Formats: sequence, structure tokens, C-alpha cells
Amino acid sequence: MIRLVRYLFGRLLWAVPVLLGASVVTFMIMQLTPGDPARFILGQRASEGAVMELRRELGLHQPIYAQYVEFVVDAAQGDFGQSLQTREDVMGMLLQRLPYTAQLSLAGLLIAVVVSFPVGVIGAVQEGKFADHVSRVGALLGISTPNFWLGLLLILVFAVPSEGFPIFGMTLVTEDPIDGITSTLLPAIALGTAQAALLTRLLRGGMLDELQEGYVRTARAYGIDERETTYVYALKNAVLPTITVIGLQLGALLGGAVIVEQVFGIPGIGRMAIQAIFNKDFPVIQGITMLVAVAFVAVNLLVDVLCAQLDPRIILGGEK
Amino acid sequence: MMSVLQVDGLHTYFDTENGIVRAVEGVDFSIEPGEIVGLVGESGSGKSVTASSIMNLVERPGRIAEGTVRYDGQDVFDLSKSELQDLRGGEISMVFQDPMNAFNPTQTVGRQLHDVLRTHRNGAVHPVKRILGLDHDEDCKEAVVEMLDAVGIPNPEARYSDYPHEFSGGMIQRAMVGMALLCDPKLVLADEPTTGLDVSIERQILELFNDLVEELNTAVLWITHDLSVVAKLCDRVVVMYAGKVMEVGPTDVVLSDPANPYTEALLDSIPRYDRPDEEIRVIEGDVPDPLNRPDGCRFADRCPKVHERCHDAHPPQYELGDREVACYLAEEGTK
Repeated sequence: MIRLVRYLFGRLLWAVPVLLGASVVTFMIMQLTPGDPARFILGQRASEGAVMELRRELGLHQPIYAQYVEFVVDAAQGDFGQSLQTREDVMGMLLQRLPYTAQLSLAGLLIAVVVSFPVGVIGAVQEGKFADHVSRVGALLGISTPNFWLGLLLILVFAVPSEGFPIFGMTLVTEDPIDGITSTLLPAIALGTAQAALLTRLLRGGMLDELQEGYVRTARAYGIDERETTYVYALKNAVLPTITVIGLQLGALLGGAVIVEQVFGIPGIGRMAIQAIFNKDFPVIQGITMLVAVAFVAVNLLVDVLCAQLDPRIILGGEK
Repeated sequence: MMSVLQVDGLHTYFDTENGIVRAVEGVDFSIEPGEIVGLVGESGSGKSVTASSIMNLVERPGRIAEGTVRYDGQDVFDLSKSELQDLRGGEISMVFQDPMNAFNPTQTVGRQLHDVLRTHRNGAVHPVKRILGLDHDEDCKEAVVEMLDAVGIPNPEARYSDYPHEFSGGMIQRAMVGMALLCDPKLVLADEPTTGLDVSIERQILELFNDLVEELNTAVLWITHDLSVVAKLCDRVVVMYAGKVMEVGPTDVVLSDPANPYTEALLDSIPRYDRPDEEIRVIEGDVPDPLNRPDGCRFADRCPKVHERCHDAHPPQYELGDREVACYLAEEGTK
């Protein structure tokens, strides 16, 4: 337990340079804009006075290092300034929209896991047989289906003809559980299919590798039941690397969410990002980028701790 | 007295894209209760495949093409799936070459031994029950701890909960030996169990085997390419080459006065520390391609005493005193 706390502390310290790196990139978004960012934002026809006003508001009159320090100090306190478009507090906007993206991503991940585990494992156990071919073709289709197309297809096939699924928008499960689930199901499938396909292939390959391992031969030579060997010994070992990939796939999941939110009209972070980019709303873009970076670091920390709990060969923090 | 194991005319083939690999081509030998038999031969001679065949463990693309393996008079290839599961680990058990690889890295060593004993005492359980640990049997655990103690693992109670990577090479092989003896089998197949261990650990494992086998009256088939281990441990020896048995007989007779030129060549190729100046004699030529073996004696192309008739057909087993030799020279009795 003490080791776990020490490890967590160490990992949190490591998160600092990672997030600082992310902050540099985020900060540079505005700096790398060709010419005068304020002019760029406001457009050619804006008056010189308005441009000067915006320059002061964005702090562009200060030297670059002072701008960066101010950005980092503010960001560390959760202050990304105001949206240029709506004058809303960026942090407030993020907190308001985050639950939708979280609900969508978690539901997508859940569908991916629930589908991929049995399909991948059955594919490996039935290698070369009918079930395996179905699993492989299904995985290939899943990986090659673009999520925006799948989203539109789901809307046309399920949401349009039936009253059960809304065509547009999403309800949070905390507000109304039933509506929350029905409004999340279709976008979650659109988002989770590619993940499900990827995890299916990973698990199938992992299981096939594990079933070749010496310990499986040993178990067989000692008369241990085939089901116990497959579903207890081999499955656990095949799942371990998969968990790491799930953590790393968070980025892809959030990227997919941007598109799926757009297709289903979900007021989440992804939709907010697209709007901010079109509006050249730099504070909002910066806030979203930093939020995604923090989420990525946090999830991967969680995954590492989980893996270490499940795999005795991993010793947290190196030396025993 | 009935033999523990009687192998007759065993043929094990592997169907590959390039043709049929005849890994084992007519192997006969028997093992008596409490006897230690050495199975020697170069890599690729079919030793390990013979061992897998005895337990009917050969997997696709391999198959038993011909022959019988009788354990206690019962043909192993006739057994049902559940009878086979009772046999494996319960009546015949196996010690593997690379014990670190033969254990599951993410389960404790004690748990893996427990699972073997529990399977043979209480039967298989549903995977979910096993994952939740509801199959745990305190008596099995106690027996495992006793066995870990018996194979010389210090502090067995604590070691029960250690993972394979926390064991040293010698200790993990001791645990493997413990697993092999756990259900009181009548026969242990030891597939090069000391390969990869240093000499002093090898010696400890040999002594451990010797003692336990004597105590429990277990028969052992000891597979190795190391004739010095055979000399130390085995009552009888079976010499294999390219899927065929070349010579079978009491260890001291075979090693001191080999009747088959192949056995002789094998003995000559051992470096002798007492004659450091003598050049090591290697066997000229290569082991025949398993896809394209000669029609005649498998060893004919490399044999220093080859005759013309050797190229016609592989020699049958000739009885020569208390041994059997597959060589035409043995028929003439002239060597």
C-alpha cells in the first residue's frame, strides 16, 4: 500500500513535465498564427481600434515569455480566460460539456469491451473454424467502417423510423436514466465499433499466442480441464496487454467523439472544439487541448496501476 | 510382472506443407515399475515426440500413425477424453525442459500445483468458480506445501504464494518435480529436465530424482542427449536416431561396449577431461533430412562400418544378450 502511494506520487510528479510540454504546444497555437493573431481573429475589415483592444485582452502586447508564464499560472488554476465568441468562462464551458463527452466515450468503450471480449476469445478458441471467420470478417468490417457513416446509417435505420431513439442530442443519465441510455446507445455504437474491432483482433491474437505458451502445454499434460486453462490461465494473460491498449486508445476515442458528437448533435467537448476552431476562439481551443492532455495522463496512470495490480511481474516504481 | 509402459511400433508423423515428417518411425521399448530408463539421441531424433506420444499429447499437424502405447496393459490411444485426463498428471506425469516457461507467469507456483491436485482429487471446476477462488481446497494446499518441502524447497509455506519469476532456476525445477510427483504417478516422463541448469544444480536435481523414485517406486523415462547423466542415473538406456531405436540395453553394457556403431560414435563424441590432448571426434555428416530419409539404415550415410546391404533396408532389432540392437553387424555377431 505504501508502495502504491509512493508510486502514485512519483507518477504525478512525472505528469508535471508531460503537462508542461502540452502547455507549450497549446500556448504556441496562438503564437504560430501567421501575422498578428488579433488581426487574424477579427478579420481584414475590423477596425484598428478593435484589433488593439483584442491584443490587450489576449496579452499580446507583453513579451512572449511573460505571456507563457501567465498562461501556465492561470491554466494551473483552471483559468483559461473567456471565450472570444460568447464571453463565457472557458472552464465553466468545459465543465458543462464534459459530462456529455464522458458519457459518450465511456458508453463507446463499454460497448467495445462487451463485444470484443467474447468475439475475440471465441475466434481464438475456434481458430480456423466458422466462428473464427465470422469474428475476423466482423473485425475487419468494424475497423474499415468510418464512424460518421455508421452514425448516419444508425440514425436512418433506427432513429428515424422509431420513436425509441432520438435523432438529435443526448440526455445525461444523471438527469433521466432511460432517456440517457436510449439517447446514448446509437452514438456509442457509432463510436465504439472501431474500438470493438481493434480490441477483438488484439484479444484474438493475444489468446492465440497464449494458447501456444508452455504453461498451456503443462496444464494439458497434467489433465487440467481445457476450459480452466483457456478461460482462467490464458485469458488473464491475454487481457493484460489489452488493458494498456485501451488506455492508449483513449485519444482515438476522443477523436472519434468529435465526429460522432457532430453527427448526433451532442453538446459535448468535441462539438465545442469544432465550433471553437471555426470561430478562431483561441482560449477555448487551449482549454480543450489541456483538458484532453490531463485526461490522457490520468487514464494512463489508472491503467498502469490496474495492470500492476493484475500482473505480478510488474513491480510498481521499479525496484522491489 | 507387467511393465508400466510398453511401446510397440510407435509411428508419429507430422503433416507439413512440404510433406510428411516422420518424427518417430517404429519405436519399441518398455519400462518396468521403479525403473529409470534413459532415452538418448541427438536433437531431432524424435525423443520428445516419443514422450508426447506416450501421453497422447501430440497436436495438429502431428498424429499417431501407427503403433500402441500400453500403460498398465491399457492402450493409451483407446482411452476416452476423461480417462486420458485422469491418466495425465495422475498416472503419468511430465517434467519439462524449461520449467520457467512451463509455469504460468501470472499464477503463484503453489496455486498451479494446487490446481493439478484439486483436478485429480475433486475434478474440474467452472472457470468462474476458479477465478473467484471458490475451488480452493485446504487439504490440497497442505499436500502441496508438504510436497514443496519434500523436493527441498526451503520455507515451503511462504514459497507457496510466490510467483514463478520469484524462484531461481534450480528451485523452479524442484517445484516442477514436485508437481510431477504430486498425484503419486507410476511413471514420470522427464524431458531434458536439467538442460539449462548449471552442473551443481543438475546434480541436485538428479539426486532428488534418484531418492524420490526409490522412495515412491516410480518409474522414470529420462530424456536427454547427455550420456554422462544416463551413466549416473539410468538402469537401462534406449538410443534413438532419426526416429528409430538403434540400441536398447542395460546402461553399463551399452555404454561400456556399444554394439551399434551409432552408439559408439555418440560415445566417442563426448569430450574427455582425462584425455585433454585427444581430438574430439565428431560424427561426420548430418542427421538425415526428416522429409527425405534414406531407405536403408538411417545411419548408413554417416556410419564408419557401413556395408552394402545397409543401404537396402533399415535393420530389424537383433537380440544380443540382454539387449536389442538395430544393426546388421549384430546379426552376424561379429561387430
